[in-house]
Amino acid sequence: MVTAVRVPLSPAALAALQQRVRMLEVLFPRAQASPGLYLRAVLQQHLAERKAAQQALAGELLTKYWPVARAVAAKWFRRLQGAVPLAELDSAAFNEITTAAHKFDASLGYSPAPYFRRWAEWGIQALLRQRNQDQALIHPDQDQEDEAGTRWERLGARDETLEEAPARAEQRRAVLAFLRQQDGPHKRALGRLARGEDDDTVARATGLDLAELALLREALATALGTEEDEEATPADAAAAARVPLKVVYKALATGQLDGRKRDGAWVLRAADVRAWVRRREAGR
Amino acid sequence: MSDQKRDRHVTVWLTEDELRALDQACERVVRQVPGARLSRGAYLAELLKKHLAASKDAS
Repeated sequence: MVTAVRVPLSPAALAALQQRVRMLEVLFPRAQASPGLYLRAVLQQHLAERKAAQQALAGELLTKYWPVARAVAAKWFRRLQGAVPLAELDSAAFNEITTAAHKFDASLGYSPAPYFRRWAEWGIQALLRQRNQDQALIHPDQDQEDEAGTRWERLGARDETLEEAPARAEQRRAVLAFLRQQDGPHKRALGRLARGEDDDTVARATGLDLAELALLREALATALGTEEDEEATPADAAAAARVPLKVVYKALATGQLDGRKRDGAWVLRAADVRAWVRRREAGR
Repeated sequence: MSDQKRDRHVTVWLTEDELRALDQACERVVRQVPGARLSRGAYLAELLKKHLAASKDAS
């Protein structure tokens, strides 16, 4: 299908155009020439020049920026712990930035590096999706024989299955009903626990004992869908950091290590202890 | 009589591919100007002007 475009020309431009056409008619008497055809040829020439310039630019960009694709491939290789061959990641990233280089518009004025990085990421993610669909993502040779199922099936097994979901929803509803029934000191205790106060403070304020508070805390965690933190004692922290116990108490007193008092004794979070140990090792 | 009124129109017939490329070129020119649009005809007129100037320089 062809479409007409009307081009408004000033009298001078029109005269020049008509003169060109007449010149062509003189030079090539048997050729078909008209102002419209001449304009079309001008456009075609312009588009061809632009395409050639774009291709030259793409070549230059690829020569300059291919290390970006390599870096992205290397990053994914590390992230996947070597499960997908580096050569494959590399070629996926490179193919993608080849396309990107031809689409790059230098007139937009931004650096090509982040642009190529994004395209390389997309290429690799597409490759991984493809491999995932092929059921051969991480360990292609093990997938058929392994009795425990593929790595992905094993990973997926941790999720709620369809049979378990209603039971869990029921349990959650029961817990929510339990929480709504609470009033008086229990309700106040729930509010304080939700605000993150420690057990001793809440017990002192509400007059409840620690066993009741533990029950409320557990119900609250179930209702909120959170998991209780793994706990540690100061002795655990001292053992992990291989320091005397008094160093741990000093760290607690100075606020380097975060902890809470329960029933007069310090209770720490295992994650805090690990972080503290790492900070100490880094500072050494 | 204004300059615009003195303009005479020339009709150019373009294929779909050429038209698409022309539209992209027009869009590229005014991309940095919010709300602006450039007609195909005006782009072609400007192209012809440049072409005439360039070939005059060459000869």
